[in-house]
Amino acid sequence: MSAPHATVPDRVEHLPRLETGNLRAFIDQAPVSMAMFDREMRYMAASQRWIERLCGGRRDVIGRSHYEVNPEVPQHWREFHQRALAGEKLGEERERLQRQDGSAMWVRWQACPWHDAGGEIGGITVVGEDVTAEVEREQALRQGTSALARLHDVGWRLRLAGSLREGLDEMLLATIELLGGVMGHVHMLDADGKTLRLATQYGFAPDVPALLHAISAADDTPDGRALRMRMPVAIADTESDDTYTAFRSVAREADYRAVVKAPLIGRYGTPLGIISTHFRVPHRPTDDDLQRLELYRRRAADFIERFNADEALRQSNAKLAAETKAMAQFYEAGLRLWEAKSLQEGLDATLAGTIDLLGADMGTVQLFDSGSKLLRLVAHRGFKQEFLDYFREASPEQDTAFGRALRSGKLMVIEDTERDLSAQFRAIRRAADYRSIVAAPLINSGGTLLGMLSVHFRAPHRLGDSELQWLELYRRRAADFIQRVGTQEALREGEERLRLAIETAHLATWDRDARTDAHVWNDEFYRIFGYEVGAIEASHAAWARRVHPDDRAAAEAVVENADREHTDYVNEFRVIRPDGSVRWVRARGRYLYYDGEPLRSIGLVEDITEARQQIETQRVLVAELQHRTRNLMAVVQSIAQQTRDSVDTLAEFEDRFDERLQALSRVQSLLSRADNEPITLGALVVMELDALGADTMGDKISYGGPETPLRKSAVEMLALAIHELLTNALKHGALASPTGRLVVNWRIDETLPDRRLVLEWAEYGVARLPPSTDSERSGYGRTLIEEALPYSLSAQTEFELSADGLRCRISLPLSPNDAAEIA
Amino acid sequence: MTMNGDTLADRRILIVEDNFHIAAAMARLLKRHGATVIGPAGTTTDALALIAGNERIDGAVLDINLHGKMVYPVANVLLAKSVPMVFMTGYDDRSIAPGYTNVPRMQKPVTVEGVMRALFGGSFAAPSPR
Repeated sequence: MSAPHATVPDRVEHLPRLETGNLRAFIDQAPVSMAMFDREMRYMAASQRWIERLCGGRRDVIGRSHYEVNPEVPQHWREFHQRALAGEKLGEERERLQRQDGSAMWVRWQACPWHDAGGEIGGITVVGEDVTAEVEREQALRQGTSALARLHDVGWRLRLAGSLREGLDEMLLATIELLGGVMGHVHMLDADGKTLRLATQYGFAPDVPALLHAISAADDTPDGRALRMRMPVAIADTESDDTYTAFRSVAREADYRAVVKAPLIGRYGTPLGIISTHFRVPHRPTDDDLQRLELYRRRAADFIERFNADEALRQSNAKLAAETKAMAQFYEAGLRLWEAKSLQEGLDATLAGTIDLLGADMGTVQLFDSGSKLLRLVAHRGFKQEFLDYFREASPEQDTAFGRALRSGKLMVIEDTERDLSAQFRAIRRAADYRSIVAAPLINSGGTLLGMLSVHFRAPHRLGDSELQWLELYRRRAADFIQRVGTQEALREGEERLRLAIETAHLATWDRDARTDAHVWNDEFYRIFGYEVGAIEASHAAWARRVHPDDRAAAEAVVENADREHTDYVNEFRVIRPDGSVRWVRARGRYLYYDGEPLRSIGLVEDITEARQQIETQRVLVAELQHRTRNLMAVVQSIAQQTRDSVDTLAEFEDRFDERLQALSRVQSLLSRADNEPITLGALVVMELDALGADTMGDKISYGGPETPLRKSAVEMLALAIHELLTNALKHGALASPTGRLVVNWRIDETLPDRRLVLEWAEYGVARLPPSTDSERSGYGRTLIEEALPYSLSAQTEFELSADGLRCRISLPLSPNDAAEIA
Repeated sequence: MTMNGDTLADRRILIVEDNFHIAAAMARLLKRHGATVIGPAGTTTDALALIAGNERIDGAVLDINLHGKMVYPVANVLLAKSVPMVFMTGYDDRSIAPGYTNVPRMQKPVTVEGVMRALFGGSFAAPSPR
C-alpha cells in the first residue's frame, strides 16, 4: 500500500513512533471502510475493507477517479463529495443501499475535507461503516415490540369477545397480520379428535371450498402432523410440497401458494384446533415469525380453553338453575298432589305440573279400564272440545302415541307427528294443532298399567336428558298417586258399605285387643247395652255390668270355652239397662290368634228381644189354636150327640148334622178373620141369610139394628142360635108359609145397670102351626137358645110360639168387662 | 181295663165348664156311666154356689179357663174339702199355676175312662190328688 506522506495530517507527523507502515495496519484493521481523495476525487489512499466492499477488490485504484472505479456512485453522493470539497463536513448515520443481488444493506458514512500544509483543502476523506446487522437488529426489535403490542391488544379484545367465533376472528386477523399473510382460517378439533371443523375464515370467498369445512386430523395431513408434533408446520410452496397434494386444488382455487399451520394446544397438551395463514406467493416464515407465532397460538389456545371453561360454567350454572327450578316445580306439584281431595284434583295437578315442567302446550291424563282395555280421558288442558270427544277413549291397537306407549309400556316420545306417525289420525292432530307428543304410561309398582300421562307441543319437540329424567319422576309419582287414591277410595267404599250395612242392621260391633285389653265398641254397642254413646270407656267390666246376673256366668263360660277350643262362639243372654228394661241379645264372636296366642277378639251383638217375643207370641198362638181346635172338637161332639137325640133316621141325622157343621164352619172362618175386622151382629145375620138362600126372599124378611161389635166368645153360640132359628123358619115357620113374614131387630138397651144387646126375632102370618112332635123334634135349637145361651153367655132368652108364629128374644150383656174381648 | 156302664154308680160329680156344648156332652157321658152330675156350672160363681149347695161331692171335672177367668178359686175350695178333681185344659202344662201341680189334668176332649182314672184311680190312673 502506498500512501503519500504529504497527505498525513500534522498531528500524525508529530507522533514519532507512528510509521507509515504502522498507520497502514491501523487503518486496515479498523472495522470501517476509509478512503482519501484529492480535489479531483482521485484515490489517494483506501483501506483494505473499502477496496473489498466498494471497489470489487481492485488494487490499482490509487490515482484513479472514484467515479471511474465505481460508476454506480449515486448522484446524491457525488453532490455530497462536492459539498465536502467545498469545506462542508457531511455524514449519515443510516443509509439504505441496494446490493447488486437486490438485497438491502445499511451504512453509516462521513465525508469531510482535508487541508494541506498551506491550509487549503487538498481533498476529502470518506469513512463508511456497514451497520446493516445493527439496523436489522433494531428493526427486528421494533417488529417484535409491535407484535407484542398487537398481541396485548388482541388479548384485550379476546377478553371482551362475546363468543368463541368473535375471539377466533380476532386471533386469526392478528396471526395473518403477524405472518404477513393474506388469508386464513381456524379449525376446531371435534371431541372425538378425528375431525377438524371450520370455525372461521378470513380472505376466502364466501363459499369456502367444501374440502375445508371438515379436515381429517389423521397423521397424513399437514394439519394432523401439526397437531401431533404440537409445532407449526409451514408449507412454503403448495405447488412443490408433497405433503400438500390433497389440498393443491384448493390452493389454486383460493389463490394461495404458501401456508403456515399453527396448532392450538391446551395447557395440558390437549389439541384444540389449528390456525392457518395463507400467502399469495411462496413464503417461508422467519424464525422471528415463528417465535412470535408461539405466543400467538398460546394466547389463542388459552382463549379457547378459558372460553370453553366459562361456557361450561355458564351452561352448568344455567343447568343448575334449570334443575333447581324443576325441583321446585316437582316439589310444588307434589304438595298439590298431597293436598288433592279427589282423584280428579290430583290428576289435574299432575297434568299441570308436567306441562309446566316440559313447557308443553297441552296435555291429557287417561285412566286404563282393565275391563274394556281402553284408555278413558279423565283430565285435560289446552284442547278444543272436538279433540276431547274424539279421543275420549283410546285403544292400544291404534297407531297413536297412546297406542304405542300402551303396547310397549314405555315412555313414548314422538318428536314430530308428521314424520313419526302414520297418517291415520293426521287430520285430527292437525285440527288439534299439535306436532309432538310425549306419552308416559302410568304403571304401578306391581307392573299394572293404570293410565297414561301425555303432553303435547304445537311444534316438533325433542326432550333433553334432564327433562326425560324429571318426566320419569312425574310419571312414577302420578302412578303412585292413582294407586294410593284408588286403593283408598276402594277401601273407603268398602268400609262405608260395611258400616252402612251394620248400622242398618242395628248390629253392635266390638273389637278387643287381647294384649292391651283395649275395647272398641261402635255406637250401637253402647245403645244395646244401655250406655250413652261414648259416655264411658269400653271395657269388659262395662259389658259385664249390663249382663243379667243370672246369665253372666254362663256367658263368660261360653267365651272362655271358645278361647280354649279356638272356635267361634254364639252367646245368648239378657242385658239389663239402667231403666230396668231387659233385652235379649245374641253375640257372635271369634278370637284371632298369632302363634297360638290370642291377638284380638272381635264380633257382633244383635238385639233379639223382638225375635224372641215373636217366637213367644207364636208359641201362644199355637197353644191358642190347639185350645180352640180341641174346644171345637168338643162342640162338634156335643152337636152330634144332641142332633142324634132329636132325629128318627140316619138320613135325617146326616142332613141336620151336616147343616150344623156348615154353620159352625162358617162362623169359624168368620172368626179367623176377626183379628182384622170386628164381627157385628148384622154380619152374623146376613151371613146366615145368605148361606141358607133366604136373602132372595125380598119383602118376606126385614132386619136391622145398630152396628154392634160382638165379643169373640159370643160369636159362635149366637151364630149357631141364628142358624137354628132361620132353619126352623125356612122349614116350618114364616119363610115356609106363603103369607109369612120374618122381622129381625136388635138394639142396645142402656136402661139396665149393664148395657145389653137385645135381639128380637119375630115371625108373622104362619098359616099352620107345626105339629107338636115337630117342635119337640127340633128341640136342639130351642135347647141352644133356652139353655146354652144363658149358660155360656149369661144371656136372658125368651122363646114363644104364638098363634101366627114364633117370637124369640135374646138379651145378652155388653158389660165393660167384655169390652176387651170384643172381636 | 174295661169299664161297664155302672162304674160311676152313686158317684156325684161336679162339672165346671164354660162351653155349653162341652159341658152338656160331659154331663151326658157321665150320666150314661151312672154318675150323678152336679152342674154343669159355666162360671166360678155358679160353681161355688153348687159346692155350697151340695153336701156330698165325690169328684170334680174343672175347665181351667172360664171366659178368661181362672178356675182356681173353685179348686181351692175343693182342695180344702179334699174332693178329688181333674183339670180339663186346651193349654199345655205351663199355663197352670205352680200351686196346682199335683192336680191331674186332661186335655180336651176328655174321655170318661180318663176322668174316672184321674179321679178314682186304677191301673192307668194318675197319682192321687192328695
